[in-house]
Amino acid sequence: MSTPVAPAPVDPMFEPTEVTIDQAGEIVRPPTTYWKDAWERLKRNRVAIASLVVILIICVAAIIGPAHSPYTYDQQDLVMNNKPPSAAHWFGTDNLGRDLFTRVLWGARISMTVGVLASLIALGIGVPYGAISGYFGGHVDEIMMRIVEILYGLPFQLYVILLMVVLGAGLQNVLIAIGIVYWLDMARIVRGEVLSLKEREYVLAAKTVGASTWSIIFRHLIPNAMGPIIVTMTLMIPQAIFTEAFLSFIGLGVAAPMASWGALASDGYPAIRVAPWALLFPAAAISITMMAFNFLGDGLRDALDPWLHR
Amino acid sequence: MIEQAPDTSLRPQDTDTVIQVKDLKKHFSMRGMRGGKVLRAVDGVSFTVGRGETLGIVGESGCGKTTLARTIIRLYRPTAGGILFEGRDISHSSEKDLRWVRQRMQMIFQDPYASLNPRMTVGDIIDEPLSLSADRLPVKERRERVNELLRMVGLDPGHRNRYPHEFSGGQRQRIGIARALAVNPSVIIADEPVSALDVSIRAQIINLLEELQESLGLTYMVIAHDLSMVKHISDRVVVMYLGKIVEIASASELYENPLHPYTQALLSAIPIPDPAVERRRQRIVLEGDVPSPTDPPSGCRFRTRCVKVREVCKKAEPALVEFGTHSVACHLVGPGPLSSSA
Repeated sequence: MSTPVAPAPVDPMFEPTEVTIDQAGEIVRPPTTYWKDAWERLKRNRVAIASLVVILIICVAAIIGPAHSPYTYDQQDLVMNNKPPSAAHWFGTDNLGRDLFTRVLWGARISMTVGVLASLIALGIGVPYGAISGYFGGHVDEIMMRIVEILYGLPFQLYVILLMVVLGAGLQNVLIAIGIVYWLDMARIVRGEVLSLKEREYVLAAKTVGASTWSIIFRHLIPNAMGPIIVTMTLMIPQAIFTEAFLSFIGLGVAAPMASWGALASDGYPAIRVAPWALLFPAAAISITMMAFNFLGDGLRDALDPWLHR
Repeated sequence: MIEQAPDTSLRPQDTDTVIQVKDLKKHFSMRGMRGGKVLRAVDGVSFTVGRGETLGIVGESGCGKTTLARTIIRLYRPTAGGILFEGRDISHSSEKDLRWVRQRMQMIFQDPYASLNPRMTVGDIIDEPLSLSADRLPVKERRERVNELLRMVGLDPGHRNRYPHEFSGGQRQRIGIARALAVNPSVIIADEPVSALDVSIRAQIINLLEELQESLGLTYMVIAHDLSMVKHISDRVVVMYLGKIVEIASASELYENPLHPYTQALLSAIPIPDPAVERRRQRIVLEGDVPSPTDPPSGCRFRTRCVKVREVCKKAEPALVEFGTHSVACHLVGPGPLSSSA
């Protein structure tokens, strides 16, 4: 029975198993979930993984960096103003002699906060709003989507400027301004997903076993729309970061001496001939972060929706 | 010919009635269409289902079979008519009152790839009806019940933590059956339970359904367009055309002595595995498609495709007339002078 067989050429995709025919019926792969499969696919995308690493480094630096810096964000040293990058000041100093590296780290905190908060607002308001609108349909859908369209119609810059005039500049008001508009895209995307998912037979099956409307929305529909939701959240973060940078650049963002990346770029811009690094490093931070989130979002889209790619 | 010796199969009069459907209508308004057309998916249907019997419902695609099933189980609200389930009228019950129905009537769906939530484990899928039931068991007993149900439908309880995509079509349909059985229902409505499966495993699922009926005393309403399957499992068969019932008879009676021209045409389309017989018999080929249910023909709905059409068919809509165990809705059938020799 057990005559030795010549070893077959080894294919890296497949490994020979030590089983007999009797056990063949028992060959099963370990149970995998949707999320494990998606992670396996994401791991094969090098750009997305590199982006994920960059994002994690920026996050860790933003959280623990400022505490380990020998300088503070507002500590001035007028003798050392407009100095180029050196061992003491990695990113150089600005026109008031403040350490740019420390200020960029503080800026990362603000930018990341804005980005994460915008995506959390989208998750908290946009997802249930879109799901309810799509699931109930009819007049409910009509009214809820008209509200979204009205908010879409607001010219963003104009209303932000008006809001800042009324409430005053500051991080809190930037967050309010971003919060008002950033859940709209998410609501639309989730509504579209729910509109198609609610016709699936498993939703009918849930109804026949007596599941409530809320249980159908939160247990059956939203989990199945999780792929597009996560992709949208990931792609929303760089948009929000850029919006905050833009608002700070035109002077409507955080107040001095606090610094966000946009405010730093705004400060560095007049001195572009004397101290180009004061503009270069904040601008590079904005660009790298936005690119990393966009690449990660694209990678996630491919990983979470395997039918789409190729 | 019609008033022949009564057959021995189960008749609703012999047992108590579980479901009684009276002149049931379900219309859908077509939004966005000019003139606001109404789609009459089910348009005045009456029949009964006796306890322990299997009622087959056959008809072409689009004849309202699925709408009828979904209205009876109250996924849809009927436009008119009554549904008596175990003596209670459930045709206009609120969602809250329907909880009672959800414990007693369950459904098996057509597509086993679409009817299981891909993000839930098999254990959670089968546990869902248990967790929603009025007299909810503690978690541990529900686990036991899920294992028992998996064994009942021929699956390994060890696979309860797997996801639907890890199973074959036949296994998935077994999971769907286990979910339907979880609350111990008395009636199961099966909407084309095997039409999405490979031919080789259809028999397994049919046999499983029959075994479960035997051991649990279930009442079945089985929707299908596969006539030989319906003949095999049904006690009585309802033939539908364009939202109406054209014929009801016991399975053996219907297949041996079809009265309605539509039923005759349907039955002539079943291939017979005997070349000698197959060569001799005549096929009645239906011309054209089913007319649109938004604009059904006047009089008899089948007249546009009927080979025996007469002048009277245009004017009056034939009523479903009972001849002993056989009911048929056709002007040409009956004791009157128009009756043709079948």
